[in-house]
Formats: sequence, structure tokens, C-alpha cells
Amino acid sequence: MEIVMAKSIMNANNRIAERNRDRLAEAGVFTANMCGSPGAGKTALLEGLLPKLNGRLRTAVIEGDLATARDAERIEAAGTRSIQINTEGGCHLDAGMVAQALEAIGLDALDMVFVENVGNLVCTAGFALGEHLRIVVLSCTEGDDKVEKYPPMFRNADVVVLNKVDLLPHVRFDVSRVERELNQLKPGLPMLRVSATGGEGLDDLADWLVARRAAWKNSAVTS
Amino acid sequence: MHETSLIGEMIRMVEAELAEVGAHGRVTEVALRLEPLACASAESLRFAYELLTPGTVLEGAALAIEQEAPGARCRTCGRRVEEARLGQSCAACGSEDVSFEGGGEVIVERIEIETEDARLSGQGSD
Repeated sequence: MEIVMAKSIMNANNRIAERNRDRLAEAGVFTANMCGSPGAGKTALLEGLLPKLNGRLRTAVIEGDLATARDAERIEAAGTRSIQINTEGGCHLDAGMVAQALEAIGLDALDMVFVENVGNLVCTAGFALGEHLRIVVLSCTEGDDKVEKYPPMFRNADVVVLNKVDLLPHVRFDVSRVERELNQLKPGLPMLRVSATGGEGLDDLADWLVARRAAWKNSAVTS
Repeated sequence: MHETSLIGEMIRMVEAELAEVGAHGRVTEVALRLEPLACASAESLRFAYELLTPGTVLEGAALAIEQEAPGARCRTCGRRVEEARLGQSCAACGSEDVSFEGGGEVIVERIEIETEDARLSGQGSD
């Protein structure tokens, strides 16, 4: 006997992600899922970006790593509320872990939450967390072949942040190749260039995020 | 590596499905379909399957995996690009404005069950 199922394996995670998304919308908390390789500069980007958002958005950060609270400590040291999820070997965050973290962090008096995912260009791509914005951080020291090698990650992105642009003169990285391949994978996907440690592009990224949150808020009010 | 969580979820889904339709009997096969941009390797799925299925309803069942090939279409001349690779231009008109198609889901397509009736009739024909 044959039983036809035709169901996505991600259904269970997606249902929890939808619940997170609704809950965050109710609380008016715009949420970004930050993905990228280990060493792309996700935490450094937050350290550079969060002070730029001070006084404009009230933010908190959920950090995901296999082990240690190192990243959450860095964010707290930079003056932003943060909690750490340890996946104990898991290679990605899932919506259930984020639901618990949202419970712990509390959504009152917040405008935006950044979820820094486990550093990984593969496994994090398929797991929705309930975010309203997927940010992929790509650094030019990783090489310009990452879009071709890891298409699902970039297909699911809403914005690509190209980090370490201050190092472009010193590394082999063809920005136009990345732009061409992103256009083939997802036409219109924006790419912003920054240097998390040098500060270049961080004001523009902060403005962009404030505008995206405002647009999200407006669409939630009218729908 | 997330293939272990995918197979774990697949086992839960199959168990739920069997309970829902009230099916009894041994599962002989489960079939998965990987869409072109599913970020899962067939080899790792098989490894996780061997590891996780003993002691579950899928113990001893075969795992069939169908991998969909990526496709693309040229936005300039409209032609389909076969065996598409990112970064490639359209072979017909040379345009770089090529668009990749296809989803990224892993789909549990179907399960095969050996029912009591089938086993009995199988024995009868021996």
C-alpha cells in the first residue's frame, strides 16, 4: 500500500517560526536573522552597528553558538542586552530554540532583535526562525566564489552585507562576480558594503535598517 | 550536518502519518525529493538514516532519494539553460541576465507499507 505524503520536512519548524513571527509582530519587535561563515564578522558587525542604532531603536541580541557565551559577553560589553543559546553541537538555530530565547529576553521596551545564527553557510539556510529580515554577512577575505558554492543561503537572504571592504585592495575578490551571481539567484537583492571594524558603511546600514523597520511597521498597521 | 535533524523530523512525520491514517504493517520504503536548492546532501541523509532509524517505524525500510536538477532561464531571450551553473551566461544569446529556478525544500513524497493482506497473499502464491 502506498501513502502519498508530499509534505515538506521543514513544516514543523516553519509552524513554530510562524508563531514566533506573529508574536514578534504583536509586540512590534522587528527581528533579523544574521547568517554567515565563522569569521565573516557577524559579532564585529553588531559591535560596530549597535552604537549607531542607539537612540533610534531599542535593540537586543540573541547569540547562537555551539559552545561558550563569548559572543553574548562581547555584545553586553558593547552596552546591549544579550542572551546566549548554546546548541551543544547543533550546526544551526531552529525556531524552537529562538522561541525560548524570546521568552527569556522579554519583548517589552524593544524595537528590534538581532539573532546571530551559528557560523555556517549551509545548515542555517533552511531553518526559518520567525525573522522578518534575513541578513547574510559575507566578507571579502572568504573569496568571491561563495554565492556559487552556497546558493541556498543567498537565495533565502533579504540583504547581503559585504564586510571587510577595507581589505579589498589586498585580497583577490571580484565584487562584480558576486553581484552578477546574486542577480542570477535573486534579482534585486540589495548588497551593502561595510567595514565593521573600520566603520565604513555602518551609518548607511543603520539608516537602511531603520527604514526597513519603519516600512515593516507601516505594512503591519495597514494589513 | 543538519541532515541528522532533517531525518529526525522525517521519522516523526512518518510516525504521525501512520497514526493519522491508522495504517498497520511494515514500512518497506520512504521516498524523499530534494528540490534543486535544498541544502542537503543525499550521502549525509543516507548516513543519518542508517544511524537514526533502528528502533523506529522505519527500521529496515529502504530510503529512496530523488534529486531535482537545477534549471535556469535567460531573461533576455527567454531560453531555458540546461545544466545551469551560477555565473554562466546564456549559451544562445550570451546574456548574463540568467535567472535560477527551483525551490529549496526537502519533501517527504510517499511511504510504502506492506500490509497484512499483502503478506498473506504473498505467502499464498509461494
